[in-house]
Amino acid sequence: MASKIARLAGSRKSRLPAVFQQQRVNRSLSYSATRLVENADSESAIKRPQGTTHFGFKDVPESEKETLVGEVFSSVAKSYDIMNDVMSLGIHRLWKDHFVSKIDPGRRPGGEPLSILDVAGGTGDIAFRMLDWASEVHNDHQTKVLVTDINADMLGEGKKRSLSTKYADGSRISFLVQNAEVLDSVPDDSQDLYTVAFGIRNFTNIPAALKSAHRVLKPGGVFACLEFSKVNFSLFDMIYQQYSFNVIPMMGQLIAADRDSYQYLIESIQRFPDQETFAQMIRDAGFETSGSGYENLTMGIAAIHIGVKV
Amino acid sequence: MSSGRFSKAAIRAATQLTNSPRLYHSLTHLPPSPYTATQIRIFNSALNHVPDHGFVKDSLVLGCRDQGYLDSTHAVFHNGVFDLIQYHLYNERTRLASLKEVIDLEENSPHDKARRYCIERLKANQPFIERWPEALAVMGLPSNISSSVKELAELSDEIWYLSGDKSSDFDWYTRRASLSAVYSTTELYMTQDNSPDFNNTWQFLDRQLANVANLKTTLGSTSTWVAFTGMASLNLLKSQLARG
Repeated sequence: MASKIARLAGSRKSRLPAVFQQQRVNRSLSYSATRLVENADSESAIKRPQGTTHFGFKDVPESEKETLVGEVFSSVAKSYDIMNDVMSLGIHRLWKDHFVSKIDPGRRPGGEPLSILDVAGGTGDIAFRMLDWASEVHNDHQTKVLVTDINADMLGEGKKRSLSTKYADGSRISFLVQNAEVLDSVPDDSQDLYTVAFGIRNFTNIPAALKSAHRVLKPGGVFACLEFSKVNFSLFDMIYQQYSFNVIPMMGQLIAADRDSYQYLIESIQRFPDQETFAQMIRDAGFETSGSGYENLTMGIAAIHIGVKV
Repeated sequence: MSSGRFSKAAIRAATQLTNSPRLYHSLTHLPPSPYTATQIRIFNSALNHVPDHGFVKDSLVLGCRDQGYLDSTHAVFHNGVFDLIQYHLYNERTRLASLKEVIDLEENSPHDKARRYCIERLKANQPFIERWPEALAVMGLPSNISSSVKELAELSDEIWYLSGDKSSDFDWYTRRASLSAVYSTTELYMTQDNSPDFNNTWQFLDRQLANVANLKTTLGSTSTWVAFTGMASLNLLKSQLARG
């Protein structure tokens, strides 16, 4: 049953005509999909064949996930901003601002300028915010950000954007194609801050990426992650699920004419571990957390996880 | 398992078991501290900077720096300076239990013991008393107020418990509520007190505690009066009606 629905979800091609027919398909699909979500984690963890990982609700060979995720982001790179606005009703801007004000990056009196690594930061959304924060709040014009992404298309988008900012000369921001699980061009113990916003759920091997984060951070360096998470209020969760499975793919169809990518994005949110599990994964990678280790945003639609390398 | 080593999952399950909040209270096994050794070191260093910098993020950053960490490290504390304040409150509340032997010897009645615990607790704010209003302001922020009120309730519970309060009726609540009120007003008074050794504060505390005692008598007398008058009026009415 489960695999049949997953196959159905994945193989369905975008069809524009017959809006009503489309909606009917949506409804039946979303119903099965929500049911599937309930046991998705336990089922796939047990039954997933060796050497495969999840791509949305589908199981794919680990070697293929990178390419598949790459295709999704290559196809949405241009409309990435609109996509985020659609998926979060525009609230992602507030979350990102809060994220940056929380980590409060910048040189302080008697301190050093920071080296920041922004992973999966393709379009530079978080990087520009952090540089702005450092300049405006701490009057720090030396802190540097290295933006890495596995996807050259996304990085290209970021580079293009940087040209219209005051960081156009590239002295404070640089872009580099890197696999977050390896980060082979980033030396050990070299970074003050590692940020990853709405990226980590697309990684093939999250524990490996956390290990790499631990490796490149200086002792005392901070790992900060902003990611979609699990809503902790059941009535709101119900509404949110309906919105995710019905509205978002349809909007993807209408706005970007790319239903499958959006379908993947919401499925990947469903498959990402909940707040507690992810906090434990961060601790397992060698980080220390304080309190619960996370902060919920908008009732848990997104969460900020922070760990420190001690 | 067969090789005599525990699987990773088993170890995690075991550690989660010890870290999870207990469903029972044990006098002999106190709950583990919510803070790691690193956090305790950072917070203690940060508190040393509070007299100069106040209850602001800078103190926390300087605390991280003193302990050999980076300026960015402060970001690990999700509530910023409120985490530092909560650490101080937690630390000083749990410290009271260590004074039990001395106070049990020196004071007699539960009331005197409670007064003494209040004084000991208030004295812990002395090093940064000029900065304490900043802490109170942070504690009063909408996002923090529920944790602050909970901490205050736990403090007055701790004080009454250590003082040997054995009440098991509604008095249990009134004692804790009134002590919370007394403690918080005295704490506020102390921030404005310039008298030597805070003598005015201790006098203020005594007056507040006496007021509470008076209030209790007043409340008791009032309720007796209301009950008596009520019954009397009712009987009067009944007798009037019966007579026709």
